[in-house]
Amino acid sequence: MTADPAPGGGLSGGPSGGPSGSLSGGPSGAGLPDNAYAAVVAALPDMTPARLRRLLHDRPARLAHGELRAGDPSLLERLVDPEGEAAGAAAGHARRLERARMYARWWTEELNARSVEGTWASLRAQSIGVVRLGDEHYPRGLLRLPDPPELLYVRGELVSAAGPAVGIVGTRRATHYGSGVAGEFGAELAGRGATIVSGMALGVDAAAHSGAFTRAVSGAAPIAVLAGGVDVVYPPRNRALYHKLVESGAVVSEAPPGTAPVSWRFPLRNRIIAGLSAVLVVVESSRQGGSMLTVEAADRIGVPVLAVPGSIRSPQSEGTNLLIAQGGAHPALDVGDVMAALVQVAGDEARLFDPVSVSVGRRGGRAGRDGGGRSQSTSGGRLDREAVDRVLSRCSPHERAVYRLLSDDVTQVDTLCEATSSPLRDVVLALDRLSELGLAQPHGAGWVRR
Amino acid sequence: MIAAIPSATLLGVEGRRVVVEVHVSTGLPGFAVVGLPDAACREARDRVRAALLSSGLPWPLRRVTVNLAPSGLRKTGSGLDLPIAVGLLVALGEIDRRAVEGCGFVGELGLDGTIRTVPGVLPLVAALRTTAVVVPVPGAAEAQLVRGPAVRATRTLAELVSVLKGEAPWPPLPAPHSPRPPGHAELPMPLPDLADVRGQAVGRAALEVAAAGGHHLVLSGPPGSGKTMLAERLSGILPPISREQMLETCRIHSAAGLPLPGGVLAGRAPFRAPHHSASAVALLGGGSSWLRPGEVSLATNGVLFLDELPEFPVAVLECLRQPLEERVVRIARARAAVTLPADFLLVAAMNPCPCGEGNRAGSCQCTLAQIERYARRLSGPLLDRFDLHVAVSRPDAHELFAISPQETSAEVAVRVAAARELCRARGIRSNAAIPSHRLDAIAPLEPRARALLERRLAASELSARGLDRIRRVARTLADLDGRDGAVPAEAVATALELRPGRRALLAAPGYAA
Repeated sequence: MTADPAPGGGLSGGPSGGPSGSLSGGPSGAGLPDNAYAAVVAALPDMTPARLRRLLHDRPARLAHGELRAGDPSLLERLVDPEGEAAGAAAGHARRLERARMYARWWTEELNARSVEGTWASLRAQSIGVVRLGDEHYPRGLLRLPDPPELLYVRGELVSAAGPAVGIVGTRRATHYGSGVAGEFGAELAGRGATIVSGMALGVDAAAHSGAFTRAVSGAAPIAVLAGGVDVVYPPRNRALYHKLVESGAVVSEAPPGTAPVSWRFPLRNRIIAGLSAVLVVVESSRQGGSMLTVEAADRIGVPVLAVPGSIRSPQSEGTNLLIAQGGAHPALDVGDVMAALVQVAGDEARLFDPVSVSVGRRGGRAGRDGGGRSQSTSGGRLDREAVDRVLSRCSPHERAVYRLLSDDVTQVDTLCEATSSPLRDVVLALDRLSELGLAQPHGAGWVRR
Repeated sequence: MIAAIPSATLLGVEGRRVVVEVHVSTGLPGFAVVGLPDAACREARDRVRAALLSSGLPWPLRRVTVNLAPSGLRKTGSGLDLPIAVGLLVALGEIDRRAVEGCGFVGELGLDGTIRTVPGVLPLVAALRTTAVVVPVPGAAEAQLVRGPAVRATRTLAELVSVLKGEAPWPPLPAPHSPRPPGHAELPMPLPDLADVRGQAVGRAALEVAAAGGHHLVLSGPPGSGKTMLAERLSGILPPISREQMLETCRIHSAAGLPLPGGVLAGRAPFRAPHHSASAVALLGGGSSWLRPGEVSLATNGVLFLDELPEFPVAVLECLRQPLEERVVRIARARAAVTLPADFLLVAAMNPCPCGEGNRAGSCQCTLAQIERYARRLSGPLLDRFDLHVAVSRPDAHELFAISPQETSAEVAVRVAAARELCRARGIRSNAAIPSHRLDAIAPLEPRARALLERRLAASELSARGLDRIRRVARTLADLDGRDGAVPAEAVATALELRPGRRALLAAPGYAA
C-alpha cells in the first residue's frame, strides 16, 4: 500500500504556500484545497462515516459544503438513511425524512458558524494530514473494503511502503507468550521490510508496534490505526509509543481530530486495519475478542488470515485456536509462515505490492545468521534450541534445574524454592545468572523463559 | 478565699500543666469558669455542684470564679472537675490548705460524687510534676507507670474529703501494671508462630527483612494465599521495645482513651489493624475539639497493618504519605496545632485485581476497565514508599503437605535482633532510614554486587530512585547474615526479588513487562 500523505502539499512538510490568512471572510476561498471542505464537513456533530460517505460521494467536497451551507433541498435525498439501515423500514420513511431535515437545519447552522480556513489552519498547525477517497495517495488496500473510509486523517508520515503491510492484532490482556510472539513477529517482519499495521492497544498491538521499532528498516515504519482522533492518545499508557509512531511511523484514523474513542468506532477501526493489511496475523484472542471482528473484515475482502496457536488451557488462545481448527486461519508457527503468505498474496495481486523486497526464509538466511550472534542480546529475539543448550552447558546443575522449571507461564520464586528445595538466595542468584545469559526474565509476579 | 490546685489538660498526646484557681467572694451567687474551657469543661459547674451536694458538702451562696491558667491554652475534657471541686472546698475552708500542698488532681465527677476516669491519665500525670497525684481508681494503674509522684486514688469525692481532712487513711491502690513480666509465658496471648506458614520463601524473607530493617512491606496475592497470616506473624519476630518506647506507646493509647494494651505493657511492639472503612481522622488523628491520636500514632513503635489496601479511600491513603516520610503527623486546627508521633512499620495486603484471582490462574473475571480503576487507587508515590513488594501465591495441596519443617518465630527473632544491633552500632535508627548520601559509607557494594546492579539498571528494570531502596534492603539482608562489611551480590539479587514493583502487585496488563 502506498500513500504519500500530501494532497495539495499538506501533511508532511511545513506550512508551504499556506493560504490561511489571505482569504479574509471569503466563504469559498479559492486557495483552499478541496479536502479542507471535506474536513469541515467530516467534523460536523453527529457525522458518522456512513453519512459522510453519502454526502460527499463522488463529488468535490466544496460542492457538498456549499449545498449544506445554503440548506439546499436536494441534500435531503442524500441525508435520508437508505432503506433498511434505519429501523422500521416501511413505516419509517417519513420519520427518516424528518430526521434528515433536522440534520440539514442543524448542520447548516453549524457550517455558517465555522470557518473552513480556521479548520484547515488548525489541522496544518497540528501537522495532521487529510487523504480523501479517490486521492492519488489514498491507500489502495482500503479500496477493497465495501465501505472504504471517505476521509483519512494522518499524523506522521504515511510514506510509500517499500514492502507490504502485515496487520498484527490480538487481545489487550496478552500473556507473556502473546506479547513475546507479537514483539518477535513485529521485529522480524519489520526487519524484512514489512510495514506493521496495528491498533496501538495494550497487549498484543503495543508489543507488535514496539517490536517493529526495534528492527524496522527504512521505509517500513509501523502504522497505528486509532478509533478516536489521531490527536487523542488512547490508551493513555501508550503515550510514549504514540509519540514514537508520530515521529517515525504514522497514526491514522477516519475520525476527525478530537474525537473520543467511543465503543462503536472500534469495529470500524478494525476494518481499516484489515484493509491496510496484505496479510493479517492474530496472535492471541479470546472467542469474542475484538480481534475476531478484524478477522471477519479481513475475510470479507480476501485478506489471508494467520493465527498463532496457543495452549488449549489459555483463555487468550481460545479464539486463535478455534480459527485454526475451523479453517478460518492458517497456523503461524513462525515468521516464515507469514512471509510465505505474503509472497503468495504478492503473486496474486502484484499490483498491490512490490514483491522484490519480500524474501522468504524459515529461520534461515539472514535471520538465521542473526540468531547465532544474538545469543546475548536483550531485544526482541528468542534463542533457538541449540543455542539454549549451548548456553546451558556453561551453567551449574542448579541453574539448569531452575531453568527447567521456567516456562512461558509465570513461575513464582516461591515455587522455584520449593521445587529445588534450595534457599531463596541460591534461587535468586541462579535467576540472575539466567537473566544475564538471556535465558530468563522477570515478568508479572515471577519469572519466565526468555 | 482563694485556692490554686495543679492539674493538667490534654493536647494531642501530651499533657499540659494547668493551675485551677478558685476565688470565692461576696456578691450575687454565681459560678463562672474562665480561661478558655471547652464545652465539656464549662459543664463542670453543674457536675461539681451536684457532686458536692450529693456528697453532703456545702455549696456556697456566694460568687465563685474559677480560672484555668494559663488562660491562653484551650482546656478540653472533664478531667478538671475534681481539681475545681477540691479548689472550691479549700477556698471555703472546708479542707485545710496544707492537706493539698504539692498534690495534683485529675478526674471527672459524677452527679452522685463518684470520681470517674478520663482519657490520658498517663500523660496528664506525667505533665503534673507534683510530689503526689490524686487520680480516679481505674486510672491508678497507668498513673503508676510514671516515675516520681505518689499515686493516690479514691472512689468518691466524699471519701477523698474525709482522707484530706485526716479522718481516714488513703485506700489501697489497685495492682499496678507490671513493667515487664519475667518470661514470655506471662504474655497476654501467645503470638502466632512463623513455623505454621508453609512454603512462602519470599514472603518469609520479606517479613524478616521488614522486621530487621524497618522496611515497609506490601503483600499482594489471591484470597487464601496467606497474606494476613504472614502479616500477623510480624509481631512475633520484632525485637521487644524499650521502656521508653513502651511508655510512649502507652501514653498515646491513654490519650486516645483506650485501655493500655497488655502486649505493649509486656514490651511487645503494638500491632494495629484498622478496617478499610477507616476515615482520614481515624487513621491520622484529629477531630474538632479533642485532638485524638489516630491509628498511625497508636501503632508507634510497632506495626500498622492495612488489609485490603486498595479498598481504603484514596484520599485517606494519600494522607499516609507525609507521616511515612516524617514519622510524625502534624495536625493543625484553627485553635491548635499538634504533632503526634507516627513512627510505625507499615504492612499492607492487597489482591492483584478486584476479583482477587489475578491473571496467574487464568480465572480472573475482571474487565480491563475494572482492573485499571483498581490499579489507579494506588498512586505511584504511595507504592514507592514500600521497600518490599511481595507477590504471595496460593500454595497447592502438594506444597501444603510435603514440606520440611519451617523455622520458628523465635529462631528468626534471634537473627532480627542481631541485625538490629548491627544497625544501632552504626548510629542509625533503621536501615530503611539510611540517608542517600550515606549509602556508600554504610552500604558499600562488593564488586560483583555492583556489576549485578549496573546490569539491571542497564536493562531498565530499575530506576535510579528504586536503586537506593534496593541498596537499603540489601544492607538489611547482609546484616541478617551477620555480614557487617560490603554488601554481597546475593543480598542485592534477593533485594531485587523483594521489590519488583507494580508488575508483581497488580494484574493489570501493561504492568506485565
